[in-house]
Amino acid sequence: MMKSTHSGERAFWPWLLQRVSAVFLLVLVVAHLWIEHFMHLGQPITYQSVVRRLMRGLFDAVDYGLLIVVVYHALNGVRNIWLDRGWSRQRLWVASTMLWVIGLATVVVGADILSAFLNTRPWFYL
Amino acid sequence: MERVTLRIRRYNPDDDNGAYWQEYSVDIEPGDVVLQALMRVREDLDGTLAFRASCRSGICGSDGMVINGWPRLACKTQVSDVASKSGMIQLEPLYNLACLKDLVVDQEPFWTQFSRITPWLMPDPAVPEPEKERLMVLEPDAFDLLSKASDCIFCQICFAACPIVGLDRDFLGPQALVKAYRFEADPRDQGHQTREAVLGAPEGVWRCRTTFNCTEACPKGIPITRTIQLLKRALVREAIFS
Repeated sequence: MMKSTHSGERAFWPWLLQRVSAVFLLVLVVAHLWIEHFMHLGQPITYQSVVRRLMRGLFDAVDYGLLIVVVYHALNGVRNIWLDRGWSRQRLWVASTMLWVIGLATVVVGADILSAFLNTRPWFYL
Repeated sequence: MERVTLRIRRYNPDDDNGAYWQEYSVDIEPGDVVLQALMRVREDLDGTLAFRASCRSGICGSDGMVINGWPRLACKTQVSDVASKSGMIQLEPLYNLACLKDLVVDQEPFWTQFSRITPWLMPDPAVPEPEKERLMVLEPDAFDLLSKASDCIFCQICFAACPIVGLDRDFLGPQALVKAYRFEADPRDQGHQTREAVLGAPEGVWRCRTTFNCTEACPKGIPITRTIQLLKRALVREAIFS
């Protein structure tokens, strides 16, 4: 149907990544709920048990993944709302940059907290 | 014979009072459509009422208007389907287009977006013109979809039903996109390079939020949202794999 060309603006990445992150979100939220509520059914949830779990890479990977995917999906969703408002490109660029800063800061802080369990001390000491 | 009341949003640009609602009571026969009731108003009650109509049979697409809050063709809408229990029908000009007078709207933004997608077949100039006719080979399902996309009558109802058109005036709109699909899906067309810049731009296919309003409102039953999704998929495939 369509022939290959590379001209024109590539505006599809945010559109595509919103859908890809939605799929990851679904998988990771189900994993998160299962880990939190069903994996140790009947046992009391204590700080020590949570720390023990977060010292294992697989469970950390789920939380790191959830952190990144939730932040991206949520902030890209906000950008989509702004897109629909018909903002100028300049205004949208400023707003998108602001969202990237907020998103990266959130991921860094979240990763810093999680890293303390896996590495015995945080990556960034925030 | 029954009696219905048409509550019409009137607007006269020469009158400083702005828009207002006016009610007309008319007799209707079983099987009457809204357009017939409107014509009775104009012929018998108020000759100043302005609305567009031409073929009266759902072919020309002239009489699109908002009937009880939803864009429809007046000539294809049965009075009995839309009249309330008290026999009231509310009529407004199409949304997302400026009102010129009563139920007549300014179509300029619609046609501007339509022209942006170069809506004509662009054959490969390297292929010599065939002596008889240009052969088009398509699978039955693909041909069926292309055929449906060709059914558009330019009634602007999808344009009025789209919430994104109302928010972003730069958005191409569903009708321009379904027409773009009609040519992009045609194996005889070689105009993709020309259209891609418009379709792939932020105001192109990506602005569609798949609310399905256009598909639901289309009086010709064109699966508009599906064709827009096919355009998106083709652009993604092209960007990633080529």
